[in-house]
Amino acid sequence: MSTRREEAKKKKPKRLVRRAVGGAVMCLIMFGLAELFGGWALDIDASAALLSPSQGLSEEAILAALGFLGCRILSLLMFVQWVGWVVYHLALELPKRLSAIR
Amino acid sequence: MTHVRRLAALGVALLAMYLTLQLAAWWIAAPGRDLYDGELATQAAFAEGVDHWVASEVDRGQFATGSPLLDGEWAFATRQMAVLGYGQLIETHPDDPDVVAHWFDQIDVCLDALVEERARAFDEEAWRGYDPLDDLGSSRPHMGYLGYLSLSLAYDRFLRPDSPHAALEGRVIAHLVRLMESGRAREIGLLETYPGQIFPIDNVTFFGALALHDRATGEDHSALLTRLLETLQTRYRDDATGLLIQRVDLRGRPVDEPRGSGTAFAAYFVSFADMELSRSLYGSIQGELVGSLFGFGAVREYPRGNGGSGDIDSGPVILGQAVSTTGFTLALARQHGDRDTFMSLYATAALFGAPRQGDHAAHYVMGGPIGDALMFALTTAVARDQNGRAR
Repeated sequence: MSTRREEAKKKKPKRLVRRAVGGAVMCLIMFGLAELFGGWALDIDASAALLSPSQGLSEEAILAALGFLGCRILSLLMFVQWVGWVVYHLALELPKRLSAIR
Repeated sequence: MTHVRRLAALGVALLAMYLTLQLAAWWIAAPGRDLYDGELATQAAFAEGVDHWVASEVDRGQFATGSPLLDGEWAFATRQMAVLGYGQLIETHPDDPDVVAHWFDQIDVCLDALVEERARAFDEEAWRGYDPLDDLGSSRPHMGYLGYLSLSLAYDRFLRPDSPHAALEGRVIAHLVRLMESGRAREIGLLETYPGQIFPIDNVTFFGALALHDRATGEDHSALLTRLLETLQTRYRDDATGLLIQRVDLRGRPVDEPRGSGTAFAAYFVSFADMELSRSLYGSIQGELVGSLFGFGAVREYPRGNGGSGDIDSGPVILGQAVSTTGFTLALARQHGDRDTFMSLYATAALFGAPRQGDHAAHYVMGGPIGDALMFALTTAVARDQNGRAR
């Protein structure tokens, strides 16, 4: 039992690092998607979708505008959440490590 | 003990998230710092972005508001605001004659396009077949077209009194002065935008134009201008908030609420005539409408406690915050030296509008012709001295 717990303890930091890297990659993907949608929105001038979301817009313009704004805002929120998650776990783990070293 | 440690870690994480949002706002608003400081390279890049639209066939087909009238207004406003942007750059960066000559060329292209038949069509249709330029000298004011045109023409003449458009400017101003001094307008101080519709904001463009016209020509309409500005102050500003009534009836009675979009746009246009009134209107906006969260600023369309939906003036209203009103207020923050508000509003504008610079020209991804031209004019707006010169 104690061996299993020790193994889990050893694996935990690795798991956290994997999750942190995975989260960072997801943020980068979302950011890249926003850039792609942004380029497309600029090419087809999807501005009317934001400025006058009323009538007569092409599906392409709506998709480009929503894709761009959605990914842009999501990438920001994901990044902020990722920072919070990383800092939370650092704040939990660092004191333990420091006391172990002492 | 474990709970205390977890709570402490959560507190640190929340603080980190807050700081990250602040940092994101600062990073996203990066071009805003140069724009606020009047950095020529950045301003010129956005001017070059507008050059692209000036050279394009921007007309009603470019927009999809769902209303041919509004599509026409937006195509018209693209070039009208571009003239103000180029003019402001000429005033603040007069040193390089080649660059100034280029901006004057752009103004000429815009003004020529503004008086083309297709640019006038939206107003002609609204006035049931009466063309605004053919109607100069008639009893129809056409403020939806002539109000805004008069400001562009008068600003151009103010910058170069020998402008090729000076004669037309004189005719437009004379037409509007005559109508302002006669009939119902003598009492209510406003003219109709379209038949039966009066919007104070559309009239304020003419107030700015009249001041510029007098400075350019030496004519004296100060008595009329003083009366019009006093009427605007005393009759069309809401007592409680100081905001401008958006729309009135033919007797000058309010038929819409005091709103942010009309107040902010009016405060910018009236700065060409009276900086103090512009400052006072901005004070009302600051007090009633401006807010900020995590470094991202936004401006409400309606005072706190009042709700309302968005329309073509305000743009979409999301949780009370209006897209267009937020953009218009950028000009006021810059003109009145409010750097913090400018930067927080620009962070929001940049988050949703996404400025992007290519090799030379800069565009707002979500701007299009009207967005690029509006942001160009609003982010280059300048404070003016008693003589109307850029400070």
